Amino acid sequence: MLSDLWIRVRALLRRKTVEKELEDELRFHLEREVEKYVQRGLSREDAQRLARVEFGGVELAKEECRDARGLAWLETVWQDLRFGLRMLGKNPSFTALAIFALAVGTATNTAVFTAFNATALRPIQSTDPGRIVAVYRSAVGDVNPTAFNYADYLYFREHNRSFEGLFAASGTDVSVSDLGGASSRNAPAGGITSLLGIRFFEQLGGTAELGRAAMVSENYFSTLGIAPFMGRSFADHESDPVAMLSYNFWARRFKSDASMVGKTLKLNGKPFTVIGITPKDFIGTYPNAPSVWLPVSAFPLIEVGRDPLHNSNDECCGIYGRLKGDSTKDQAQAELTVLADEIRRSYPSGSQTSRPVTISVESASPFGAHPSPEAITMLAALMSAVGLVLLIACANVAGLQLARSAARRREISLRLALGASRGRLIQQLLTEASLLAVMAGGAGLLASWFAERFLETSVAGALPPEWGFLAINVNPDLRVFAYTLAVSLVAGILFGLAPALEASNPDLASTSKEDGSNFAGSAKPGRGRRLRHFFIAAQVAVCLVLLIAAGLLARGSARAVRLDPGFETKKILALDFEIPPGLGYDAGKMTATVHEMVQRFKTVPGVTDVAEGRVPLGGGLRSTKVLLDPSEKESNLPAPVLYYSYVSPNYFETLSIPIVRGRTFTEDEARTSAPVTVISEAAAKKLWPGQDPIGKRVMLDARSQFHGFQQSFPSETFQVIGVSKDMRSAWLNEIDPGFFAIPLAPDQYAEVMIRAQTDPKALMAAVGREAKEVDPNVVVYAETLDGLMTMNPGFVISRVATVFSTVIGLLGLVLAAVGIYGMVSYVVVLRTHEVGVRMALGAARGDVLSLILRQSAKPVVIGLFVGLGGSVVVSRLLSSFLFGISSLDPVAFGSVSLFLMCVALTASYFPARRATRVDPMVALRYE
Amino acid sequence: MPRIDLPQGTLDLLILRTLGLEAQHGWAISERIQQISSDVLRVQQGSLYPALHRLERRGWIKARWGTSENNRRAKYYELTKAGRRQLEVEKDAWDKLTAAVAQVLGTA
Repeated sequence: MLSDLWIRVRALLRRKTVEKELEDELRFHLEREVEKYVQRGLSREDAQRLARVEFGGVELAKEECRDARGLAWLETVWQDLRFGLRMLGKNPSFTALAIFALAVGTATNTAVFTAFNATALRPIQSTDPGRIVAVYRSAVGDVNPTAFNYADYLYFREHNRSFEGLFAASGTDVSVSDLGGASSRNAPAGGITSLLGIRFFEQLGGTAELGRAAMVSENYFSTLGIAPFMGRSFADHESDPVAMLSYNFWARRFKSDASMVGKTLKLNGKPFTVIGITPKDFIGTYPNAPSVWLPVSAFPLIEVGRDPLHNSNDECCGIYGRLKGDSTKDQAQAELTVLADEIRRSYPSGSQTSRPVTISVESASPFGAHPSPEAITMLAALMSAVGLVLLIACANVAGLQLARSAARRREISLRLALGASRGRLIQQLLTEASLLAVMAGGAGLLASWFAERFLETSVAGALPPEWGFLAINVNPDLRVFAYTLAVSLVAGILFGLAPALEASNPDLASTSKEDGSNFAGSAKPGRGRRLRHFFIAAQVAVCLVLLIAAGLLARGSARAVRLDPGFETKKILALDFEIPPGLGYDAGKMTATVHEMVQRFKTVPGVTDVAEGRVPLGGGLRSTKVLLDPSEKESNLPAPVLYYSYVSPNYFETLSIPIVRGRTFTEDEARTSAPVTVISEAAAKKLWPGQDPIGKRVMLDARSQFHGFQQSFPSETFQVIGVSKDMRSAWLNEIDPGFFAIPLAPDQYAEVMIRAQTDPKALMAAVGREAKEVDPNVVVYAETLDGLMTMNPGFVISRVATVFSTVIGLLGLVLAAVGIYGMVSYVVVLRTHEVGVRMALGAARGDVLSLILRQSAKPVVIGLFVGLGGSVVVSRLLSSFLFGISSLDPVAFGSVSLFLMCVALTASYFPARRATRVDPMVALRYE
Repeated sequence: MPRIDLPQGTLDLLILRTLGLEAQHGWAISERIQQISSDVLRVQQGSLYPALHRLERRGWIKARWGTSENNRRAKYYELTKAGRRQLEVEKDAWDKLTAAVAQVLGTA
């Protein structure tokens, strides 16, 4: 109500005036009353006395008036805040613990919300982003939107009246060459990937680099109202091939060299002039920043045979626009629907482009307008997880608060006795709680901001540029502030309410003495106490499971890098070729290119050999059914499935894979694609258990290939000529279950492995130069096999899981420690009197300490046992990521349990020590 | 004739009713209630003013400073529109209450 608010605000701001008015009003009343009695014949003195008696206490009336005006409400909040601050300052260890625990809760919540805010809620960067919309088209009856062809876009642009401007956006991969200088595409070591101990393929120096190109209509930047950071943006109808660089690419690749504007860059082999640099972190309508921005009209230059400007079957583009000031999304949608119908009638009936479509116009976001159900499910899951963390934090801090309000019981009962209402006390305790929560919210906001900044910059630095440059803005905005404040206040009420209710309960407050004198063993095991114990035990159990899992995984991944995979890892450089599809190379051209490179690599000083074949641990697994008898072909009997790969004759020698029986292929056999094969020991055991496999025949069925390329084999039957030693080439965590190699034909190419005399890393520059001389537009990546081991999915999963379960487990442990601290503090306060009696009767400090510790250790020990049980189950599930570490590894189980027990003991020790400082005289005098 | 203390909650109704006739200052309100009730009802003067301030905060009456009958500055209260509605509501409730109580007393 407005009058209500006005009166309150006036009461607060114009306090003096309001006070004076109240004074005047009451004085007027008394004077009139005196006059009345004087008129009735009383003496003035008697009249004044009578008037005062009739009126009652003037000061009391004033106080009641102030209350009635609501002055009290705001004033007491202010008082409570000051008092609360004083109380928090008086007990800094409690304050610090509570803020720390609550900050963990608010930080996790804020982090998830910030991520959501920075992606799903992010508008398009532009002037007045509220008017930027995305146009979607879907075939009638289909929910998935499809892209538009360029003719559609032009038609919309020329005939609409709703938009100030309409622009089109598309994208493709390009190889960027003739960059000059050494490559620096990879971020320097450090950040998250080195923390995790994993890495990404490195670009070979000097060769072309793959990048992401955003293809946009020329009016893209002018419609968005984005000025270039440097140079100019596209003009209408650019006649020469021009490109803009993204700031992020320019800064990383060219070290922010201002002279780049005006220079020429080769994209897929074609020269483009750099005309400008887009602003830092500008992502436009894309989820991340590309390397280069090109006009859509450049498509024919960078993709052989592609010309969306003249091909109506090429649905190349998304359409976005800026609404005119007076038009709405609905109007625009209605208008574009009519235009879309005109377009489809212009196409021959029956064609794809003539089908009826639904047009929708929606607020644009770089991350799409339709949040997918998966994204919503993920958000909901994350939100409930962090909500749970907040709840646990609140429950633990409530335990602390309870201990503290028990210690303050005398103060509280005194205030109750002096006539403070219960509501007033609750209000005060809640104010204190909210104060604490808001401080924790501030700390949490900062923590989540720093953590996300760290994650964002280090992930952005580690991602290869062809994935685009991550440019997510995680700086908190008003929405994030509001969210954090709301979460903090809710938390304050959550953890403050129960202790406030209990502390202000007049019955409890008056019986506090009896509570203390009940020293027959322990305080009554009430429901609240049992609940607290259960809660502590549950937290300890969960932390133990998480930390044991983290310990096992950490030990597993440490073992993994020392594992002998059965092939040489230190001296081999593996190459991976990436050909931008825009170059339009066919298989023959590609094979010729790679073979020429292989020949040149062999001449590089320091190279001992170059082999072709599948890179072990490098992915690209192929497998097929293997039959021993032609008659099995038509039957549906289960036949063994084995991995296979095409390899050059020197493959085994280059990789130091021993041939244990027979021989490997000859050059002749390779040249003629002879039907011979070398199988692994495991494969021999599987196909012919207990027999000599040399000379046996296997049949391969091209139709039964799995993750293969469905290409036919050079022959149907293959004769076994050799057996190779087993290795771990498919997955690091297991010996290949069966593997065979067949000769690589001259018209095929495979991945390339270079064996160095000493250090393969030292060869990278020279190898890169050779590759560039053969073809400057082919992108070559290189990685040592040693490095590849750390890119193996099993290794990556176990490393990432290690870090995550460690972080979550440690955060949980902090919360649990706060909970234990609170619980023990509470016990100590309740038993102060009992401890006093014991000490008066001669108990030593040590006895008292061990008494308190013994009692508080109970829920912790129960939690440890439950947690150990849980860990046995969980570690079974992890066994495939442990690389040979037993899932019941005593080191992980023992050290983590011990660590947890120590933390719990420390958390109990400090409050327990307080009990031993009880002065028996003081405790007893209280009686 | 002995005076009756006001039952809880009826003071608001009496104030609103008194102000329903004309704007008045606090002292006049208490005098008026006593007069009209033929001196049966006694308003605890100390509780009159908190009640007035409470009603003002609720927006049922508003205050302005004016000149009193003896030429002094006094704070006058008058009903607002919301106050008039509230008067009707409370009067109605009071009538129902007294009628019901009378009925119970009559039959029991």
